[in-house]
Amino acid sequence: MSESTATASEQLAGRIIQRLIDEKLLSANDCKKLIPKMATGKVRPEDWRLAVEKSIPEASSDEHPS
Amino acid sequence: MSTLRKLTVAHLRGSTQPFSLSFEKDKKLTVIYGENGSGKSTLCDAFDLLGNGLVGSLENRGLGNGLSKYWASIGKTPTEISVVLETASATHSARLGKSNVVVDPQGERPRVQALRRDKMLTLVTASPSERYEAIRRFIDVGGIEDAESALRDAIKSDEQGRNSAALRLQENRGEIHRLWQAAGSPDDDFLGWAQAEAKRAAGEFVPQIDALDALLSAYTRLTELPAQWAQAQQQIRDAGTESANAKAAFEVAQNGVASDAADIVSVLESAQAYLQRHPNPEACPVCQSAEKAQGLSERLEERIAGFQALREAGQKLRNAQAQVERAKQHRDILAAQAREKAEQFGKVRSGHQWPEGIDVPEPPPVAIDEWLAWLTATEGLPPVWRSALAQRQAQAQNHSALQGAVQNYTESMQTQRELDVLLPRLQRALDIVVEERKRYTDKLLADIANEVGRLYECVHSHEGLSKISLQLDAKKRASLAINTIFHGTVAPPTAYFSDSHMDTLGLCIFLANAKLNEPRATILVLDDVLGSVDEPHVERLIDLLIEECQGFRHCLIATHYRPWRNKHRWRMLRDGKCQFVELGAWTRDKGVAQIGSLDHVDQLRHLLAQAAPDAQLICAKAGTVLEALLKFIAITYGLRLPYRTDAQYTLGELIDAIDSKLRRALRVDVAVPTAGGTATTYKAVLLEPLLDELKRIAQLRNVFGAHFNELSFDLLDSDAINFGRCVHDLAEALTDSESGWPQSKASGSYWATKNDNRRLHPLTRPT
Repeated sequence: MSESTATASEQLAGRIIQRLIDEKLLSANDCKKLIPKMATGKVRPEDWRLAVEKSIPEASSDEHPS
Repeated sequence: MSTLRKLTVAHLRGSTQPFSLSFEKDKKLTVIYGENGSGKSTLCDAFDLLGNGLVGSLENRGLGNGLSKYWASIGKTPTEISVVLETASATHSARLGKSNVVVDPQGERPRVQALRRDKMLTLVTASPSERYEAIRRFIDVGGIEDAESALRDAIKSDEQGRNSAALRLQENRGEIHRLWQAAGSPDDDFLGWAQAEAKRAAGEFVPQIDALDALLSAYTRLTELPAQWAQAQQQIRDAGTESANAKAAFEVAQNGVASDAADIVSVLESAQAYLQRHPNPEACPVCQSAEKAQGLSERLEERIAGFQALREAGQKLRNAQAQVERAKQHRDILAAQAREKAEQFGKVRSGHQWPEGIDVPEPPPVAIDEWLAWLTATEGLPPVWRSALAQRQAQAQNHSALQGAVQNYTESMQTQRELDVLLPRLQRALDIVVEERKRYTDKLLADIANEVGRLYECVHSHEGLSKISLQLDAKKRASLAINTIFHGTVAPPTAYFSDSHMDTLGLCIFLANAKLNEPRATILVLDDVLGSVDEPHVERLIDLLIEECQGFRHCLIATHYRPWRNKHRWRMLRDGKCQFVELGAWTRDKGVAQIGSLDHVDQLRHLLAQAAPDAQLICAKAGTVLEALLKFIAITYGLRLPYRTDAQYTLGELIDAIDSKLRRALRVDVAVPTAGGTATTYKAVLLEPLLDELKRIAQLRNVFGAHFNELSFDLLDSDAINFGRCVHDLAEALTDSESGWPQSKASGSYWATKNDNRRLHPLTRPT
């Protein structure tokens, strides 16, 4: 067991964010803001939605409704 | 963190007098030994007060709240309490303020974790929530759980949004289909038709609607004119008749008076008006005669009254003539309005390209009297125009509805598509959060449990009780269960463990938890934790504590466990890593008191160093030390001795058990202290000469030190002192005050002390 001054939530938030970045579900630019919010439980549903939306690759959406 | 140097306690609990405890340099473990009531817990409390602001030894004793009133020594007040801890880099002090413990420097309390005898079982028997609380800081991922919950909410909300979008899509599709049907199903692909229709400008219908609206208004305004015109003509005729009648009546009235009556009336009325302005003239204003000036006004009124009928007839005639003029003016106005409205109709007619089916006539003729015929001829057209207007208005409304429906359909489709992309990604993110959280906490708990098991195994090795598991209750937040495997059965330790085993387990849990929490900055205080540990395990527990405390800033162990003191006195405690402090009996006057705690070899040296050495004391002490040394050699090499149940042997038997081959081979390489950390060098000490000499003079022990023996009267004190010196030299060769006895054969060629500063040869008895 190693000694660390980071709280468990802070450590875990770092791991989760890295995993989400690796799986391209988050952009690296968003992680700095998200880690402290996640560790303190202040992430809101809209924060999640926005962060994940921003990671979606651009795609054409000019199709007609069918 | 800096090392501890000195603790000074005043007027706290047993410290009726200020008491200072100096910490030896480079020793992280301090063992405070003392009988019950000697003040050990006071020193533990001093650390607790400084680090945690409480006196833990008084907790849970049924004293209720307000324990601080018992903190001070008897006869002292709480404000007199003082605890000062000096370290290599700072000085921390604690005293009692009005309502709390004041620590200086403020906010820099040293970290102190204390475990007391009465709390050991609690760690095992605590409720799951209390146990969770103890390690909350290390496993509490409440922030992540909240973030996870927010992510679930986002998914739930978006799933609802997706369902709503799908529902709206269906509704919009139905509405478009209805409008398509309303439009006569103009195309096979109703959605394609709707798209194309929606792209048409919404204002396409407006000009036609406006034009038809203007046409109907213009036509309606024309329809009002014939009736108004006929009425105006009638008014002229009526006024003309009235005027002719008034003229005839006036002529009749005129014929009844003088021919110039009208002129006369006019003159008289003028004169009357003059006299109203000048009521008392001196002469007639017409003839300037003053003769009949008096009463002129009255006479004028009389004459005018005589012409009244004529006057009234004249007035009626004038009125009738004015009425005729007004009627004619009204007719002329109507004629102008008619022209204007006809022009307006003409403009509306020519200002728009009327579609097929919409007939618009020429404007009405100039002669207004002919309008009625014109209106009669065109009266079938306005209904057609109104129908056309209503049709176009309905078309405009449908177009607007279609545009709205198509827009909603497109937006719902877009929303659904976006959510179809977003939702799986959010769900995957949630899976990752849950997976990582579980993995993290499971590993953390497994690490803690493994560490508890490892520590426990160090004490209760090979008992098969070290399979400890810690599990969070998935159904409850902040709940931690502890289990162990007892002969194949998974159960809480409390179900099968003895109190002693649970005490050890409690200590192991405490140590494992303490190691999680900045151990390098933590002062560990263990107050009387060896109390219930059974004899066979104490030694291993002591070894465990000595090893584990090296990872902390410092460790203070208070104990009244007597074997620990004896081990210290026989150099069996690893004093190189441990400072041993012995407390004497506590008295109210002196308070806590430290007493000397020399080991037996040091005591012997002390006796030999006296200005007037006491032969009897020297021989007694030397004899005891020699017995210990010879027994060590006998056990180490498995020497042959007669079997006795009490294992008591004379010095002669023990010395003779060392055969000549072994005696010649016995050698101790003693490390020579070096300066500057250079490589250790050793000085070889052969034991044979010392053993030979001791064999020769061993009887001195009995003569001087063991019994009253008159033979001693005839012997020299120097012989006794020589005996003592030989034993002391042998002890110094074989043992080290810091690291004890050479008991490790890990080298494979000799026995060594823990720090390798004594190497005893040979490893085995020569054959």
